[in-house]
Amino acid sequence: MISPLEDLHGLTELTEEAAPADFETTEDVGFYKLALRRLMRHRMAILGAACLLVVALAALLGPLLLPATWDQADLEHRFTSPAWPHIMGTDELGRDIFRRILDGGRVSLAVGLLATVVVISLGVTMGTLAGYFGGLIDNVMMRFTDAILAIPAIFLLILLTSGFGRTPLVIVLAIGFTLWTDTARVVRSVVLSVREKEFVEAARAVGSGTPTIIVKHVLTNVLGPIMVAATLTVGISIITESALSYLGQGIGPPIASWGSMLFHAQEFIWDAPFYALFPGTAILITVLSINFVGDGLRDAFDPRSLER
Amino acid sequence: MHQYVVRRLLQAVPLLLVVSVLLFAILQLQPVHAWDQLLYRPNLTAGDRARILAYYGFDKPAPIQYLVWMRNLLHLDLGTSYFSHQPTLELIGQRLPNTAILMTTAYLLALVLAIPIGVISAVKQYSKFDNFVTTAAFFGFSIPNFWLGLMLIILFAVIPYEHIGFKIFPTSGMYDSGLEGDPFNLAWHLALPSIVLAVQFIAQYSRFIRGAMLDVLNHDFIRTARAKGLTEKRVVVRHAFRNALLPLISLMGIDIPRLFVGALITEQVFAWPGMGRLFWKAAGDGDVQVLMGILVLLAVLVVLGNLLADLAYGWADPRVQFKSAR
Repeated sequence: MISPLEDLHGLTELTEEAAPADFETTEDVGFYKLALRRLMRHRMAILGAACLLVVALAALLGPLLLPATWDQADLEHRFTSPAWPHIMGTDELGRDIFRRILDGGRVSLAVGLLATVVVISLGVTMGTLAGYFGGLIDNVMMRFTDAILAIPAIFLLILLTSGFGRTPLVIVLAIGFTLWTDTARVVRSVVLSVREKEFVEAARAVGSGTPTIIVKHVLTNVLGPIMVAATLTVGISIITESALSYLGQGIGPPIASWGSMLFHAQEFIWDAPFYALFPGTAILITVLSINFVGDGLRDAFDPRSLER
Repeated sequence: MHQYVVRRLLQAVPLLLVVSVLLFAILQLQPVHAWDQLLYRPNLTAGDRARILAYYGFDKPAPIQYLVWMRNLLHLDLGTSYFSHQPTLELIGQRLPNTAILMTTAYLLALVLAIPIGVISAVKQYSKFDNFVTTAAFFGFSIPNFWLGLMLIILFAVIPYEHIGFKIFPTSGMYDSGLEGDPFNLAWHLALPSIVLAVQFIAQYSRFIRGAMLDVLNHDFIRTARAKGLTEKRVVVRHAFRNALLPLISLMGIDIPRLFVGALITEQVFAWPGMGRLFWKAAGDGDVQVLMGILVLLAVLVVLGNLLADLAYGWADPRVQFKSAR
């Protein structure tokens, strides 16, 4: 017979629902190793990761392998249809579209990753502080995120980029500033529950300082949601950057990005419909791969699925 | 209930204050200002410049400008465009209905498609249909909507025009010239933009409803309903679906800003004369009064949308009670 006091600590659940012996649990191999193992079995996530690797390598190395003249204007060969050697055709200045896409890939991926760094640094810092300390910090942050959420993202971005200039730094910071609130809220809610756990109390009892508790005990337990949020944020940032560039508010010419190529492609959509096809496909494949990886990570970190 | 509404509206006031201060600060901190354009005309004398600055109130410190703006707002005056010299409210009034038509059509389209898709894929979990929808939803999440718009333009206008000599759907504007106000012409122009705007919501909502349905279908009362001998259709529609619909209501409230984001981009693709394009032009001009007016109005709509969603939730779910005390 289990006494009500023991029941308060959830012991009945533990004794009744002991993990079946043939399942590996966190007890055996540790949470993150288990999550990694589960991720490796997520077929779409692996496929997505492979695709991303190919896209990243192509964007990094591709431009070095193609003839340098392909990036030069060649007005005698404007809008040539896709055919060898210009497998994706040429644009309004006679530049090779495939080459432009690879160049644009560098910009889109770099902006996506850097904006994510901003989002995660801001979001994790603010979310952790608000969740752990609560009170005034929490209140101020929540009201501030409310305010940002009440301004539709692309409106805020247009406001920021049209006022502060369209340099890469401004674009990255603006996207980061617009998107950090979601991450902050996710982190805050996880921290809120983690800080009440016994091991945090235990750490405090043995005299650990607040910074140690936050870094060693709280943050390590929020890593899963942070990684999921970070992955999905890369995709959202890439879409956001391309939308901004499509609106003519992205990084200025002559730097190519997938979005700005589409901005020009629409102008010539009647002359060269193929021009619009390829940059968008590049965005779709990249973001789709990222979302598959994000989905795999979410499944891998889902505490409800502790089985292999 | 009344007290609840009043309390929520009162809570919205500080939020809108923060929004307006934030926006004003962003506009003030910018290195390029609207008045630069107004001042740097070659034939102006120094005295003219000073008079222009004073006329618009730009010579006063930023906090004073903000207070003036706020005083006008409380008199329901959102200022005047520096460039077209039309009142902001008038400009918004011309454009907001067009955006509303686009958003409503797209949103209804999304609901009409997403709800049955979500319900069927939950009822037939892991069927071929469900797996197809799961994959399709990933595409729906990942596709940039402006690119989808371009592809639809190619598919329904460029290619048909080349081969059969006419466009199946028009690619820009709300009406053909001479047919302004004709509902059929409007519907024809709405087809592509509303699909483009709807796609991400179809993807998101069908997944959401699938999840909610699966959740509900595991409850005891569903087993009871089946045990009573009800037909499966009645169990799904009357018992499960009605409960699964509840969380969708709050999602609808949260999604209003995203609907505006999608609308701005869609309006750009299809040259739809809505708020998005008004905002877009004002941002290019640095037309502060119009920018502030639009953004504050959007913030108000977002806040009201959330409130309406919460009220609708309470109306649909009698278990929810609006407590007047915190």
